[in-house]
Amino acid sequence: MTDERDITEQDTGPIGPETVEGSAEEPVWADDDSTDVWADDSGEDEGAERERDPIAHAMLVVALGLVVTLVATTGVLYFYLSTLNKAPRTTVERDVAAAEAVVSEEPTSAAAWARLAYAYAEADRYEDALDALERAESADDAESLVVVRADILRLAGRTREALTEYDRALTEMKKLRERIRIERAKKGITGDIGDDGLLQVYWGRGLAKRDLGDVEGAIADLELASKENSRQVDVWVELGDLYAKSGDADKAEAAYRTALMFVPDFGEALAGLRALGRE
Amino acid sequence: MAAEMSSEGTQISRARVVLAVAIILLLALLVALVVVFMNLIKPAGLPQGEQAADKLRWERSMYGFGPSPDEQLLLPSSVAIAPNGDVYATDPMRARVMVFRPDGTFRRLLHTGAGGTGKGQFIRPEAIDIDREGDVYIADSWANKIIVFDAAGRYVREWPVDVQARGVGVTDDRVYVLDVGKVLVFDKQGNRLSAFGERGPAPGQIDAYQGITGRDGFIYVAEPFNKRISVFTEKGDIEWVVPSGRAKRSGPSREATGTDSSASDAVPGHRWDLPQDLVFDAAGRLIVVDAFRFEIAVVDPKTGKAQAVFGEFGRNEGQFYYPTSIDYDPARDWFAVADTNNNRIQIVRIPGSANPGAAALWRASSSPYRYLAVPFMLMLLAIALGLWSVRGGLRRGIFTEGVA
Repeated sequence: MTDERDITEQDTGPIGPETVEGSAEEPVWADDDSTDVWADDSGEDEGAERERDPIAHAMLVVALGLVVTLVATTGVLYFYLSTLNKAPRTTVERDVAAAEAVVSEEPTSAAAWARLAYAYAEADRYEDALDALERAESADDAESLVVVRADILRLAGRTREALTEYDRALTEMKKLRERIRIERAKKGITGDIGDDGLLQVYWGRGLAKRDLGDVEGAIADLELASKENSRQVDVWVELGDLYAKSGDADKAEAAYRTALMFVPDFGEALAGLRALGRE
Repeated sequence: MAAEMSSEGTQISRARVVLAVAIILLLALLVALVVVFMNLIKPAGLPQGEQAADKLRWERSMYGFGPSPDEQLLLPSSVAIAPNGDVYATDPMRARVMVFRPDGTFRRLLHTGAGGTGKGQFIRPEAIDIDREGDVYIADSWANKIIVFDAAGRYVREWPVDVQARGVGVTDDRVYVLDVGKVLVFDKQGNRLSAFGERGPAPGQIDAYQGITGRDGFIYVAEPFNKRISVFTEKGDIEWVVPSGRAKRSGPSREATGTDSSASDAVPGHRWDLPQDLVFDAAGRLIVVDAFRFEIAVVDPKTGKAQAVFGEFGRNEGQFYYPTSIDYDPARDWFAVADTNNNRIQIVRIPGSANPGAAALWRASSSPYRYLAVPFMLMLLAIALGLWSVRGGLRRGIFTEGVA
């Protein structure tokens, strides 16, 4: 039977240097995996023992210093974050704040949620954007939001998924346009419907193709976009860039100059002309 | 004996391993904490890519003190920087002035009550400037007065002006007030010293608002409606005037021509479209903000010729949409620009303004990341203590005796 003292010693192990046979004056370090390798029950030689391994001692100092550093860092950062106001610091943050404010006022509006989805996407919060889009799609006044989903996927870098969605959006948009045309015809209304839905699809799909390296495909889509609305300077500049990339400098110059017809000092168009050497 | 030494060495080695692991874990934790902090304070939508040193460099933007529209700036018309680096922005539509710290955080609101026209109140803070003592001078264009507050926001004094107070510029001993066609010169107590000017396009006449500043006894006026910069003596004698020159259309962009234009060899086609405010930087250059060109122009104050232009149109950080006011912080070598139609104040830098070394130190002390210096210093201290401990052991020879 083992007494209590024995159990304690066996289980925990001695915590100080032991004296072993033949080396009464030489303390041997206990078989202990703790860092407390300097502890000495006697207390008399504690200082000397502590200095047996100055490197370990230094490491202990550094470790303790790091603990203090961590605690201090947490405190300082908490203090700083508590002084921050919640005002936006960039346009993107302001757009998010504004869109969130609209959603809180109009929680059942699909347009409000769609706007928030775009704002989140611009802030690189793509999961939040898709969540907001789902709220938009479940709203009472929701119409086709496929193009919004496609735009968000494109901004998130999921370009191939975006292309599929753009194709779907194009089909839906054409159907919708045809339905509107029939409704209008019934009422004797003729002429252009005047919405930019298809422009948005062609523009987005063109950019997606560009991102995938399909220059010809991108040009084809952006040319369609320019036919939907010929005053979109961004479309003309992007077309100019793509023509230049495909080696057609004349078409590129024409596209940049078309953009400058609408905005005479448009910097990107001027930069494009400069790059072509045709200022 | 050898076995004992071996056992001892094993123990020492094990302790070191445990401590090394602990130190690595603590360092990893510290790095993680710093990364989390940096992500927390890093706003979304920062300018993409590295900002070139020879271009306009965006530092930060200030939109307001909260997320709701009422808590944000609405068409800020004027901006001024206090000696301590605080940025004051007028919010005239809401009859208030917002004060921001140099790191972009909100400090306080200067608001004397909506619609107040009584003593100590302002209703339409159109323009603002701050003197070397930190006193804040506000031009109230509806109450037609100059009202002064101290650096703590306490009312000091005010005086009426017999014009519509649309612009104010303060030097060491003068307060210049600008109406559409008139300049009034006061001392800092509000005693009128001189007045001159009439509205018109001829040299010597004035058609302007807001943009006025003084230096070495000369008064510099940005004249947006005359598309020029004019310089006067305090008596109203014209020192020089540089209009935008004749603008012609040749191809996509218009170019200024004529020897009387602001164009120079450095900026051949420069012209003024709506020069709205101006300030001197530490290098003695006249810096003019042109609302319709969305630009900051660097001008030689002796000739009025543009030496460089910076900026472009846009909504993103570092771009402008009708910038209408500018002020300079010589300590930090940066400019505050009232980016009016973007409803914000932008802090930007342009090359060549001041002593870059000293300014960089001041900027670092105004950075939101400055608190990270605390853990960094503490970490260095911990390492220094560790080295000091090793050095102590070496000096006493214990290191070699105990470990060898």
